[in-house]
Amino acid sequence: MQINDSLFSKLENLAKLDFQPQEREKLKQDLENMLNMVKQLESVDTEGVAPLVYINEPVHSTRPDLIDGQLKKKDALSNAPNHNDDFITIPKVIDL
Amino acid sequence: MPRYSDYTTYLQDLQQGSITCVEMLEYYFGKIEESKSNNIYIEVFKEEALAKAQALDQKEGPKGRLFGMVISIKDNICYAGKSSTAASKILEGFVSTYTATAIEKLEAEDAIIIGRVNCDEFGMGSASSHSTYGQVKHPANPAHVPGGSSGGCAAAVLADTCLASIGTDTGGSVRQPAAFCGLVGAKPSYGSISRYGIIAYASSFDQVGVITHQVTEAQLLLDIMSGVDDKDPTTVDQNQIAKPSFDKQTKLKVAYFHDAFHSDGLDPRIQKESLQYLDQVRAQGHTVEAVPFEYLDLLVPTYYVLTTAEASSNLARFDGVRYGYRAPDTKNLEELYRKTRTAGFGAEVKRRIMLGTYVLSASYYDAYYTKAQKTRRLIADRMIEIFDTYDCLLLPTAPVFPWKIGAKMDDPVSVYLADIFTVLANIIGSPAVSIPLLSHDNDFNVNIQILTAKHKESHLFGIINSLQN
Amino acid sequence: MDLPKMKKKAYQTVIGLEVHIQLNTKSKIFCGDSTFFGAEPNTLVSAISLAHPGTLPKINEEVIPKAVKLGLALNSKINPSSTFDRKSYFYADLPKGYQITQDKNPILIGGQLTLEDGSQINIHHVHLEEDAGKSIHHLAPHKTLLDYNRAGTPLLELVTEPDFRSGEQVEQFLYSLRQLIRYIDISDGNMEQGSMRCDVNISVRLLGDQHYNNRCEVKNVNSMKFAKQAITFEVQRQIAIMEAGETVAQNTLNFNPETGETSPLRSKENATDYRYFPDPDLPPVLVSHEFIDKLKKEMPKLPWVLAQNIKEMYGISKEDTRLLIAEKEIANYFLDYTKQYPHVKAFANLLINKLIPFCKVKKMPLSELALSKANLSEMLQMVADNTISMSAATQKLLPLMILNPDTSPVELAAKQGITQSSNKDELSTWIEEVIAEYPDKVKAYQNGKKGLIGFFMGEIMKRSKGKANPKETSALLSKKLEP
Repeated sequence: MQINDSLFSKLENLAKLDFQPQEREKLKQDLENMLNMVKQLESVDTEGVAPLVYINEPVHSTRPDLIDGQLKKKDALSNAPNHNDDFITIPKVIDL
Repeated sequence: MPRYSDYTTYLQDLQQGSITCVEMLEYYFGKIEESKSNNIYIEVFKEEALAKAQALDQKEGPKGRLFGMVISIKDNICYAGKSSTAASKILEGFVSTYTATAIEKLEAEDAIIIGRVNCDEFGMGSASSHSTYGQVKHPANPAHVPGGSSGGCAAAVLADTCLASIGTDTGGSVRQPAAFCGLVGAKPSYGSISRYGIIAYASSFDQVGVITHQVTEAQLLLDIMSGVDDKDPTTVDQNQIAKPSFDKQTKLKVAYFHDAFHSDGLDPRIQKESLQYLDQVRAQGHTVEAVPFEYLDLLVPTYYVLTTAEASSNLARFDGVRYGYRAPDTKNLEELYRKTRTAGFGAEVKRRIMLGTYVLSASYYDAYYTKAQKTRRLIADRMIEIFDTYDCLLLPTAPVFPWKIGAKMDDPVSVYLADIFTVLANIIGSPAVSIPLLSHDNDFNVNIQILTAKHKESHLFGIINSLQN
Repeated sequence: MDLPKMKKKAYQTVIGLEVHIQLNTKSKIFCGDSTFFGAEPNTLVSAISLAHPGTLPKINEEVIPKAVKLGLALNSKINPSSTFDRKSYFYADLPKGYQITQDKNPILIGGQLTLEDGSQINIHHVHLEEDAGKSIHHLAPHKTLLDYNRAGTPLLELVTEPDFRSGEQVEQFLYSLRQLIRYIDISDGNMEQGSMRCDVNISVRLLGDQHYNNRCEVKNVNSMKFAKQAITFEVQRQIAIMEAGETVAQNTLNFNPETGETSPLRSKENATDYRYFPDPDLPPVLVSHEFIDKLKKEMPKLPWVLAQNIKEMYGISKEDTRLLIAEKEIANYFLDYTKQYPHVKAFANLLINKLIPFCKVKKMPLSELALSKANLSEMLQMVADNTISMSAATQKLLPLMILNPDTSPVELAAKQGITQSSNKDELSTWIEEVIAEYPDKVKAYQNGKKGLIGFFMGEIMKRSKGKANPKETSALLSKKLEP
């Protein structure tokens, strides 16, 4: 499996990560190695097999509609790297 | 030699008054100082632990099942009022507002939480080298790694800084470091212990696990932490882990995979001692049979496709907005995200996020992700068949001994392949315990894993008890 | 933009909707934060809604029956085991870096809603999901402010087939849907507060074409009027492009309510890969047959069923019926009355013309009106008996009844002297007085100026202070005026 530059850039954009040129080459190589390793899965006959999503037999697990566990505003904001008295703040969003 | 390597003796001494909880704690504080160069502890909860020990020493009336037991926790487990960073720069400064359910349960039984210990970033690694706090060193041989990702947990127990340590096991992260340090490492069935408060790596694989000197302590700790949690809808109701399940005289049917004991990557001494162990089990009168298992080489690929996919999603919340590290001087949101995540995550984590993003992207989803989920079902179904016939499965824990710090850093794939024997239990959600075999004075231990069907922990501990007889 | 005055060809508009309905639960879909609207910023948040490390979602049990009730009303297939997926993208108001939604396996599949014009809109599916927080861009000069109160609010997203052919149909659909969700009590349907929001997918094709052309999605339209405006604008824009021989580009658009125009939004949006995959933290939502049967029994009568009943049973006009069932409260008020009392048609008129407008002005619910149905019925009986005129009843008696809720209307009317008189002697006295006063007019009437009857009636009413029963008076007057 070849990871070309445009695919690599797409992955960077989706994952919100940036790699310097030399890291990039190394990582492209790593990813290719990983994908080659993973390629062995192709040999498995999975015709008609349902994907395994839930490890245990699903049980009906719900929560009552009650108000519970809210944080005080101060505690909700205090972990944020940047905030004022009411809001968590970030640089102005122009266009994403 | 540790001051105490089992809880029973310590508890007797406590009851007889030859030691107090505070004295025990002070002893461990001393050991933490002595082993500082091993880079085990990220933070010692000195004040809180002392206050708890003092309270326990004063306590009248009924005492908890873990009365005075001193326990360390991996840095990816949340503890109210304390930082919890999963050994990542991206969680720098984050203070948890709540305590993980598993830890609450330990504290309710009068355990003392002594501090949080180093590990691989977000549990991704097998040498405790991928940490923003630096490499953890093997306490018995500091030139070597202690294993990972819960390497700090194993090192903390081996360095005699606590009686037990709580880690997490996504693909062997408790069992492999336990094995590297010659200790007991136990991972229960998926859904046995609440994941609430465990910083997620791969949600359908992650489980809390324990590292202890003795199997009995591992059993006790798992028993206390297990059970349905209102905050984790994937927890299930299962039989009590501590319940004695069968007569020691029962003759067992034991399965093993021939290829697992004869694979190329297996260290010769590990192979030799493991095969000797199979003979020894036979000699005890149990039936030991090789069973066909066509998926051995597919375990690591299946594991890495699914765990990196889940990880890429679980780690999306670390974006520098609501908590943790934020890159300075960013002009807009896009730059904030990219700079924060690029500087905040280590190389291994970024590698896995990139792979996970790839396998989840629309063009490759079916070829990789769906394929791996289907393979996961085939593996699980095959294991159900095996456990229908056999009481347990024996597997080596790790194919190699602890390597020298700095070795093996170059090729991630060869590191991943070393997880081959531990990932099976996480792929199928079954319980697995790694126990050291013969002890060698000046060499690393060989270890063996025992696996049973899902939710058969009491059976599993019964089997170990029988095998160790 | 220059719009061509004359179109060269005949076109057909094709519209599909995605409607977000905010469910009226007390707490959020996956955690215990309150869903109260209008609270101080960042006060309805928790470690879970802020996506703190280690937290896990758990579904609010109330959202399930609410979704199922919508499914029963729309005749959808109710999925016995629906599942949650993660939809990944980065945005500041999306705490986890993914939204929990239902992509592959939604809770409701298919269904229909019939519009007033008789056309049927097919529902593709309805799924559960969580709302995002709010980014506020205009309050601070160089910063965007984040409020996570809304993050995690339960939503149902309803996706229709592209079955609409006009903005009017869209308007009718949104009206009916809002009415429905209020009737079955799953949402307050308040579009201004964002409890019901809608994305409109619009494309245009040549009349007779079977294939669909590229569509444009207009995001976050938050009123029915805007939906119609956005469609009108967008249809003209797309036709202009097609008339010029060009192809409409698939795009995501924003609607500006001030200009009534659409404009392209986040162009990168179209290239986003959401990397959907099943959320391993959340087991499937299981809905049993027994549960569905139980809800079926609890379902209220739906508005279109009520409309049919009212029209058929009481012969009330379509327009009046529409008003009577507009809101569940009004409909219930009306139906309660019909169960116990006569004069239903008169009551319907009274409700539409007097009681509803009165309550609207006073901003109070009908139920708080200090008028018992028994008293209203008694009043309508008096009108039927000709004891009081309808105008006297509504203008004079009704205000008195509100002020004296414990006194019977008959007593009140008598006390205030507003009961109309049908007493022949009394009527004759008033008539003869008037005839005596205007002999010229009587002559003129007798000579054929029959229109003067109105003048005489007015004079009699003045004299009687409105008490004269108009019908009786008119009959008696005609007789007395005969030469």
